[in-house]
Parts: sequence; structure tokens; C-alpha cells
Amino acid sequence: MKPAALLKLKDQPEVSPGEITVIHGCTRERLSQLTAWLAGDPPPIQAGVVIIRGEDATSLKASEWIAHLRKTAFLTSSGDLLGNLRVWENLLLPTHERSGPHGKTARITVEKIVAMLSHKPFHELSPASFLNALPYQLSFSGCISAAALRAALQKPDLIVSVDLAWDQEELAPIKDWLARMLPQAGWLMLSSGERLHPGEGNVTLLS
Amino acid sequence: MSQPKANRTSARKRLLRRYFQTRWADLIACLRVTTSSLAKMPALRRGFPREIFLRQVYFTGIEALPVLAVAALLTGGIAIDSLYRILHRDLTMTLDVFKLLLVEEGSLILVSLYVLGRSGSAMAAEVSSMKLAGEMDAVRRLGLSRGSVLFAPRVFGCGFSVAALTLFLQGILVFGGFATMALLRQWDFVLALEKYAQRIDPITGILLMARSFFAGMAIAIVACAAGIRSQAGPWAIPVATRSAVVLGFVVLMAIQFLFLLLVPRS
Repeated sequence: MKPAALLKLKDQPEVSPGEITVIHGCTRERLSQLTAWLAGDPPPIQAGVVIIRGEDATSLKASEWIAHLRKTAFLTSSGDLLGNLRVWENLLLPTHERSGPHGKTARITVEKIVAMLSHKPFHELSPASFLNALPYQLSFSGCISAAALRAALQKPDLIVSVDLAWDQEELAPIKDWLARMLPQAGWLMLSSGERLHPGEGNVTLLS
Repeated sequence: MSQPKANRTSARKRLLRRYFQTRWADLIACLRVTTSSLAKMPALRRGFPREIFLRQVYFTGIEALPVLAVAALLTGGIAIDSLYRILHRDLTMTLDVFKLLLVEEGSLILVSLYVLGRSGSAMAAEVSSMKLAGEMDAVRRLGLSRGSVLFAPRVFGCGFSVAALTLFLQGILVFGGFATMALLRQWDFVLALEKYAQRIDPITGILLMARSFFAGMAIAIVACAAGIRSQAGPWAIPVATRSAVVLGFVVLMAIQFLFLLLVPRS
């Protein structure tokens, strides 16, 4: 099923390892379409292509999206956390779906997370209360911190950020930390705001 | 005069069409939940799906035990005493009717209605709020299947819980009934149990467990389907809850009727 309204890309955005690409000028509705496409929906793009991992992502087949999603981390304002799982379970979910939250590997991963929480952007968080909290108890930056920690565990080669203003005081250190942790990952920033992202790689406008 | 009548007719047609469209959409949602749960059943053996399955069993099964135990204890006592009086103190007849009417049929109806009201509505509200909060899309963005993380653990957890609760309720009904009769009518508790045990048929027991399992699955399927059909708005969660309970009630009765038609009885 094709989306009703299709987007036209003015340029040909290419997400390269270690670089930031911005697709800017989306309305919230179009942003949702683009995000849904990157999560496996049919492409909402009428004109232009998006190059991800060296190939045209608009022509990927449905079966290829599963592999794509395994190598992609999404950073959204809600942090994509499941409300009925605690934060530590949410962090383990994508990487330990099959081994579960109580196995030996999960324990090692939790130790890794606790070590990460001593890093600069998170050092104000108390590991025990942060990890045992339910998502609704977290602040906005807490949700983004959880999403960033989960992304660091997933080790993706593509990070898709959906409408996050990374120049905000509370978010900028998290972005810098994630960029340091995953230097090879390409960033695709989808932005609906008026503000451009100065100095953040290729900016593609939508019409 | 003819114009308003024509308007009324077309309004009725529109209402009828909308009703059938809604029921059709409910059916499609139920089928989607069923197929994705069945496809992801093997995932329940380990990992997060198993963990969520166990939580569902805890919420639906274990947390329901105290209330059901009290209800069964009282119902068993009241029912068997009434039957004993109606059937002119004929012990054999009382045990036969008690087993067929209350232990075999009543237990499942009691459990499934209790689980539908308690867990089915909660599950519909939970899935609905997950949908409205964008968690369904989040699961997809994490590269996970909704079947393995959301639907299969709830559907099979609920099925397992209803089967286990039915078995538990039957035990309490018999125990409560015979204990009441021992107190009020000076029945020999052990003798009554022995006589009752002679009437137990393993095939009927297995079929009843299968029926309970399907009833539990149906409750969860309808609840999840009502949840995923929610539309954003202030009534989203109440509507999902109401749909789960109303549709679940109809589906439960249909399952009982189908079993009555399809499964031969001794």
C-alpha cells in the first residue's frame, strides 16, 4: 500500500559512515512517513533517492528491511521505550531478545551499561534508579539517554534521529558521546523544524 | 413527507453499513493477531517472549486465584446444597448434575467471564495505550516482531492461565461443595469424593482443558485486536475496553456452542 502523499527530494541524500546527513523541511506528517519508511513501510518518495550503505534505499525489498533494521538505531523523542518494561529491560530487548533478561550474557551487558552510565553525559543519573525506572518516570533527556545507551549496545552502522534538536544543552553531550562510541556510524537526521543544522553535513530539503 | 422517510431509510442503511464495516475490521484485526501469534509461538521457548509470557500468566492466572477460590468455595457449597434439596436428597443424581452442570460447564464459564472482565479489559487498555503512545511502531523500529514481543506471549499466556484456573476452580468447587455438605448435611466427605472420582472421565477432562485454552486465547486475541484498532482521541481506551469485553463475550459463547456441536458427548 503506497502512502497517499509522496515526497519529492530536491537533492540526493547519501548517508556515509561517520557523517551526518539531514533531511530537513518535513511537516510532522511527512516526518512520520519518512520514519515509517525507514522502519519498513513502502517508500513515500516520489522523486529522488536516498543512498544508505551505498545503495538506493528506496528500492530495497521487504525482506531486505529486516537486515537493514538490525543495523539501524532510531532515536526518537519517546526513546522508543516499551512502557511495560523497566529501562534496563528496554535496553536489553533488541540485543537479547532471544537470550532474555536473566541470562549470563544479559548480566554482562547490564554491567556494561552501568559502566557507560559513569560517562560524562549520564554521570548525574543514579544507575539503580535510572535502570529500574519505568519509561513514564523518565524525563525527556532520560528517554534520549536510554535510547542512546541502547544504540551504543546495538552497534548500528546507521543512526536515524527523528526530530531531535541536538543543539539543545541537554542533548548535545549525548550526541557527542554516541558519536564517539560509534565513530563509523552514519547519521540521518530527519527534522521538521525551521532551524537548519549548521555544519552538520549534507542538508536535503523536501518539497 | 416522502423526503424525510427516504432520508431515514438512507440513514439506516448508512448505520447498517458502518456496523458491518466495523465488525469486518474487528474480524480482520483478530485474524492478524491470531496469525502473528501462531507464527511466533516457537519464540515463547526462551528470551524476552518467554519472560513476557510468564508475566502474563502471573497477572492473569496467579493474581486471579484468591478471588476465584473464594467464589468457587461459596458457589460449590450453595449449588450442591440446592441441587441436593431439589433432587430429593438423591446423592447419585446430585453428584451427576453437579459434575455436568457446575464442574464441567459452570467452571469454564465462570473463569472465562472473570478473566474477560479482569484481564481482557486490562489487556485491551494496555495494547490501546501502547498503540497511542507509538510503541507498536517502536517495536518495529527496534527490528522486533510484534507477534513475538506483544501478541504471542499475551495470547498463549492467557490461554494457559484460563486452562489452569479452570482446573483449579473445579478442584475448589468440588472441595467447597463436599465440605459444605459435610458440615450442613452430615455427608461423609471421603465417601462423596470417592463417588465423585468414579465419575471422572479423562477424555472429557482433556477436552475441557482444550476448550478452556481456546477460550483464554480468544479473550486475549479479541483484547489485542480491540487495542490495535484504537484511534487517537479521548475515548480510545474506553472504546477498546468496551469492544474487548462485548466482542469477547460473544466469541466466548460462540466457542462454547461450537464445541457443543463438534465434540460428541457421552
